[in-house]
Amino acid sequence: MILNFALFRIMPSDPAILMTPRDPNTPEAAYWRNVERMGLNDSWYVQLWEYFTMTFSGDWGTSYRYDRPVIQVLGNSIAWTCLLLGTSSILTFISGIMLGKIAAMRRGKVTDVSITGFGLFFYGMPIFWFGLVLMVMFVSIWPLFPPGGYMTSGETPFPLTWHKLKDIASHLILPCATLTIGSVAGIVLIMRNSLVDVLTEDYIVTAYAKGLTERQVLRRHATPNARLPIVTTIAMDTAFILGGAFQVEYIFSYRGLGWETIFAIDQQDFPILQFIFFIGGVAVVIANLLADLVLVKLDPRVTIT
Amino acid sequence: MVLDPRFRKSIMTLAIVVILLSLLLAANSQVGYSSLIMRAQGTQGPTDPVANAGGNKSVIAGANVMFNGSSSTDDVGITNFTWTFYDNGLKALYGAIAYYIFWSPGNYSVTLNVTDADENWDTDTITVTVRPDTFPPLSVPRVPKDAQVGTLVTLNGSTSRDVGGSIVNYTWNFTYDKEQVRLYGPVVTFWFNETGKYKVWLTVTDGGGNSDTKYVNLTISKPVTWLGKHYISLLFWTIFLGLVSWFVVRKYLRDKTLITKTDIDKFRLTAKRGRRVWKLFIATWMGRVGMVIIIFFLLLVLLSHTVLKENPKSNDIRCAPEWWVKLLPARNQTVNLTGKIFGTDQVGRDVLIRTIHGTQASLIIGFTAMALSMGLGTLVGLASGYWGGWRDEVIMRINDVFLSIPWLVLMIVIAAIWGRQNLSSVIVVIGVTGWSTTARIVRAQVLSLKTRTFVERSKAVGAGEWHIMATHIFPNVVPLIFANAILTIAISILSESTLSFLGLGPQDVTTWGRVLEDAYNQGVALVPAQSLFLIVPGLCIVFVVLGFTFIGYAMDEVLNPKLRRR
Repeated sequence: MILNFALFRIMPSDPAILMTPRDPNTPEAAYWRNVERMGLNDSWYVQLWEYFTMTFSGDWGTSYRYDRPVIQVLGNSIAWTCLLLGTSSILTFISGIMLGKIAAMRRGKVTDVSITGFGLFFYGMPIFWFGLVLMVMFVSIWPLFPPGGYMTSGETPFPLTWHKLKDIASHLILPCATLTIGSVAGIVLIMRNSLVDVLTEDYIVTAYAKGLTERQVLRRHATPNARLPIVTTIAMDTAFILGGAFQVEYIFSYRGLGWETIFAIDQQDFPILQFIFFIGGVAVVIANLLADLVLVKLDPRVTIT
Repeated sequence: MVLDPRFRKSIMTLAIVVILLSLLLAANSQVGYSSLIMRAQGTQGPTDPVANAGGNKSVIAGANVMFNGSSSTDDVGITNFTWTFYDNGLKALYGAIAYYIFWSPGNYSVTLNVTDADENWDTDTITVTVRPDTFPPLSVPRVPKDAQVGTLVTLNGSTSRDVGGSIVNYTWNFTYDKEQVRLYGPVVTFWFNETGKYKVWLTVTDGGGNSDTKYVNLTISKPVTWLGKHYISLLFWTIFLGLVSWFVVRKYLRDKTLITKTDIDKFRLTAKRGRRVWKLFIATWMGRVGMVIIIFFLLLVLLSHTVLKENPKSNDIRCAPEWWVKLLPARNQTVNLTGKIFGTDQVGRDVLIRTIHGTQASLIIGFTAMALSMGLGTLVGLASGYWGGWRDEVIMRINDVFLSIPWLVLMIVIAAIWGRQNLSSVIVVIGVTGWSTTARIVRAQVLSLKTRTFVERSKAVGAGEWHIMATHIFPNVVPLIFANAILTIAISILSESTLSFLGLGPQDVTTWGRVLEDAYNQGVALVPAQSLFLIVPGLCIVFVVLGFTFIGYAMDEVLNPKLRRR
């Protein structure tokens, strides 16, 4: 896709910008060796071409900081981020649709106003701050959960035992709760609005006139149509959710992609940043593709051409 | 539902890719973990604490290494952390988090001894591998480009950095009055009493003996005249007044009077419509609550510089740009709140006062970033929607890129590359990353508007592209983007706090995000008594964002009548 191409175009210039403006009068062997190693003294189109070919051949460069291939450094992180994001997005999806339904059914009543109000409250909350508040509450005041990390440090997740699984779960609860509560509000609001929209259509009146109960109308007639915007929104919001995950990981020192990103920025570790950008772009593209496919399944009017 | 065969195929492919990827990652994690070795020493009774010094470390000589023992656990609470280093003899540091610099390469063992309230103890030893520092540092001389004769010029090299290690020596070097001047230190000052151009060199050396030299040009000039100082504002006002007078003259030539009857009628109509919108707006509960919240914070801004006494002990940076402070009413600071309500942080800065002062910068960032991203989004949307064709295609692809990259990552990277983190750069970063949604909305609206009859008619009469865009299409887009604009303010404030929290916010003003960052960096999150330091600025962010969101939603309901029946 053109989109991905543009992404590559943006990225390779980063190290050059920061590293090249140096004084020629003081040549230092160490520096130039590094330049040679990083390939920074090639012209930009050579670098672009190298980056392009290497990306597709699976060689994503070597981290400046760790001196190890990027994929090795980030392999674990991707798995942990997937775990965190997967759990929280499933929870978000289910609870968001349920709450949205309730709010739309009781439109204008106290339930609706409180759900919408709280939804907006959480919508306007910086995720990192909410994470900190949860941390203050459940780690320092009432120590229920461990303060950070994905599991007790020094342990390895494989071979997996029951005890370790419990450990991982207890480390996952707080970040996951933060992410879920932080992002559920958007889904609730969209679900409510689209349901309210659908509920004013004529065919709903017809359904009621046929003598169906409210439950039946909601399940068979209203929800399938109201679900469509949610799918598109989730796909569009992937980038946003990733941003949230980064903040959460930073707060709980959950060593996923986000934590690595912030660490890499701190250390100016460009190959890692490049790879994370790449992953982010790919994730968004895949999410959009999935959303299109799901839409095809949900909406008979949409067909693959 | 029967699936399209092609669709089923693509799902299968995707599933296979996902399975392969997860297998790869699983294999990888196993490899990654086997290298992590932990050694725990000491005997443990039933109520003993468990020391945890973090994993083994591999660092560069000269690096400021952080040792974090806060994941040590105990049932009654750990009272004492002692870190022991065997580096040139025995050294000890105390505290859950300790910093230490190893200057020479080699292997060192570091022992953490934790003691709990019952005098039980446990130790944990980790090995720190110190590699020689071979990567040179980066010299960043920060010198003003030009200065006046007879002023004290500050040469600031404190932002020079070293990958991993730390810089041990800063040397400034320049020729002044035919003599070599050498100054030492990260920040030095020098009186320049002669005009001329100077090349100021900064050499930084790190612990491993690597060094880097860079120079900047410094021009010392005669004192600037009034004209030289104000030429930008003079230019601005001349252009502005010129445009206004041109408009007035043209109108006068066309209509023979300045205000025609139609104008009065138009104005009346607008006012009437405005009143109606306001009535509808204030009738919604969201509108009312949002208005109250925002007015409260605006009052806070007004009060913060007029009534509140500034904290004498604080060495806090100024809270808002100078021009903004001048706009506010005369300062007559009588109320002294220092340390009264929420107390002061570890550096002696009052949390409440910082929060109140932070309101200004946060709101300024919110409004200006909104204006920037809205302006950009509207322009781009208008252009791509109206012209269509290849221009539309190109613009929309760029837009796709901005939509698809995680905004936070993009923002962080732009901010990190930019390097200069002041108010305006942060505003630009937020504005530039926030325009894509607006552009989409505007484009969609323009696409439907440009096929309407009034645009056709205008074209038939012979109106130009710009005229149609400015007088026919733009006014019809405004109600749509107005609500969106208010929501954008909220998002901008949120983005700013996130950036600041990650240490990439403006360094020259105090914002809420910065207050939060300072609190977090001081480890407030794990001290229950100080948790208010986090909660107060955070609640401010939440409420301001909530206020703007409420107003935005209420406006949306009022301005877009299709939604009104809800």
